[in-house]
Amino acid sequence: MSAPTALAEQYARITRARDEDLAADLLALTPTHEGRDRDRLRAWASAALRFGERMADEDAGEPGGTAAVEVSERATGGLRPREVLLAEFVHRSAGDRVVVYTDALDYAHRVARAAGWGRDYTRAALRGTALAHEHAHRMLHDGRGRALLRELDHVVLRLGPLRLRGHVVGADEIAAHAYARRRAGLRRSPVALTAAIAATLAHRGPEPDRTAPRTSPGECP
Amino acid sequence: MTAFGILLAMAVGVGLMLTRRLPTAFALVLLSVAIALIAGAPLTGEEGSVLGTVVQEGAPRLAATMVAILLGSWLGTLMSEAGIASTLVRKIVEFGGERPSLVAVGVFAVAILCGSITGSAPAAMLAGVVGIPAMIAVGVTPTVAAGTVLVGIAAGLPLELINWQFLSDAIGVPVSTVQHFQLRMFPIALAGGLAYILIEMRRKGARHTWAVRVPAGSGAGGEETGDRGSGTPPSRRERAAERRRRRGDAPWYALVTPLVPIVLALGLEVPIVPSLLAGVVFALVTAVPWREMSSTALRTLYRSFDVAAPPIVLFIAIGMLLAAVNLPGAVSALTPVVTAISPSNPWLFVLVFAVLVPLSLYRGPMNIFGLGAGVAGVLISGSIYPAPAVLGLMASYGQVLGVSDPTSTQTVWSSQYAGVRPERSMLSTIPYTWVVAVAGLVLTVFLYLL
Repeated sequence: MSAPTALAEQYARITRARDEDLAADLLALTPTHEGRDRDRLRAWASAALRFGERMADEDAGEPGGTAAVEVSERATGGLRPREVLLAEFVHRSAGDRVVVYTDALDYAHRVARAAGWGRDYTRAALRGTALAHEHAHRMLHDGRGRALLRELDHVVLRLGPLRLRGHVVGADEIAAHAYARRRAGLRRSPVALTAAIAATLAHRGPEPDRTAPRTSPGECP
Repeated sequence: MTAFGILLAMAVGVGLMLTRRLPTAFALVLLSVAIALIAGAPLTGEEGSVLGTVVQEGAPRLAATMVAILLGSWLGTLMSEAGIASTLVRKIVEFGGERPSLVAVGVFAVAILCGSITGSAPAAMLAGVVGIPAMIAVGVTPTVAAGTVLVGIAAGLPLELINWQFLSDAIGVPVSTVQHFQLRMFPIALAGGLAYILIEMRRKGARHTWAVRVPAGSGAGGEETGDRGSGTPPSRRERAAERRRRRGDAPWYALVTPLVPIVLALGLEVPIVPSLLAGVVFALVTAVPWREMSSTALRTLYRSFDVAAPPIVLFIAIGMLLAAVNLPGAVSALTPVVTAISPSNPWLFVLVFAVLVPLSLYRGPMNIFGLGAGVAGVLISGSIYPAPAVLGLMASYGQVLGVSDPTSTQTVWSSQYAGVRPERSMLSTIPYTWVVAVAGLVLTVFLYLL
């Protein structure tokens, strides 16, 4: 089977798939989840998606969600040799910062178009989604993370009546995707877009048309 | 004139290593032969010859270290396949994932254990394969994630039995002397590592991204690799990962495996080789099902030869270099030069060698796993410093090159695995490793020069 046909089939599979299955796939690729039971991953994915949506509903009264955060855009730096970095949130004592990488957003837009979701993911919608995603991370970092732990209910230690809930790596990412979808009013979930980008990377690397600028990995903080 | 010729040869050797025109081991062998010839050694003969003394007797000079390396690599391979290190990291993330600093400190502790078992890239892989992406996933920045594994391995270095054997063989002091110094160096390296993690986490903050990485096992870039064809046989690494997946987490009592050799060597004064063998047996008995034990033991032993080959080749070359700089002609030529530039005042010793710390980077002349072994040989054979003081000097420099040298295999692997340039790791860690090295020099002065 040729590469474009195989990739088109991947896009079609992702289009048909349910969010919680795609989210479970993402969790399965996350470190520390190798070999985890599929049903358990799906349960965590489902809980994280619900939590993200609820977080968006509770946050609906807020304006853009980026108040008191320094937001900047960079034209390069999002396309790295083995990674596409769409946006990042950095929490420091000196102040929080969100960076959106427009080269990576352009890449994501091209992937969305190739997958047939071009109208869902315009450049403006992608930017809004990225900002909402990082705002969700900020909220999770600022205290909602504990509530997510309770929602996931991953008990790692029982001492009589006491139960210690463990951290589930990647669940915050799923919750942030669900939050961004609800806040940006998207028809298709960013989880699907993330899966489509991963499929594209696996087939072609981060330079589908060999025109996008590249950034060396040394740009990472 | 002879001294000038030898120093010139050393400079050429450093140049060849720095510019990567020759692998370090090959450059050291050529340098050994060149030094011997310049020092007036005959080509053949029983005593002090190039072929007899330098090549034949020099090659197995560090044989005890080579055996220790092989056993340490075997134990490391076994810990990797049995999932001991990855289980430790997974537990740490589950218990402390909300706080990136806590996870980083936990991975640091795992890296100390791994660094105490085996060295360089294999130790970094043992702690970092799961540890680095796990740290990044909970919000540690990639540079700090790579640095955390590196400072952890370096903090484990003073407890590494292989390192004790190497320093003992290379510097010519009893293992008990190495142990005496390294046990006092350990808290310094530990404090330096913790300072790096806590200060850098505060400086860099926590980072969360919307990012997509090339899926593991995919060779992206024009090839159709998203789904492995059913006819393609899985690689050895994939088969090992599959076996680990089937077994799941290692049992809790297997997680103490890295402590077994240290406890035996330190607590019960068992020699190094049997201590490492006991660690291997403990890992096999506690983490591998009975029916798979002999096949796992043999498979991991054979795999460990791959892991151990690069350092063993390097140590063969270092043995030759040590034999060359200890030839009578080389000693008599180099001693006046080295005496003239080596400070005799203890505090000048600290000052001068603190300034010279960068010479241990980029395979420089103070790198004990390269030309530094020769420098150490000259300092001892010329009676410029007592051997334990040279041990302290080289062990202090070892803390810098083990973490910050962008040409060290562990630094290259950890940095690239985290997605940063090795030079970036160097800039991030060197303020801390430099301080650790200076503290080591001060310790050396207090222990051996006052």
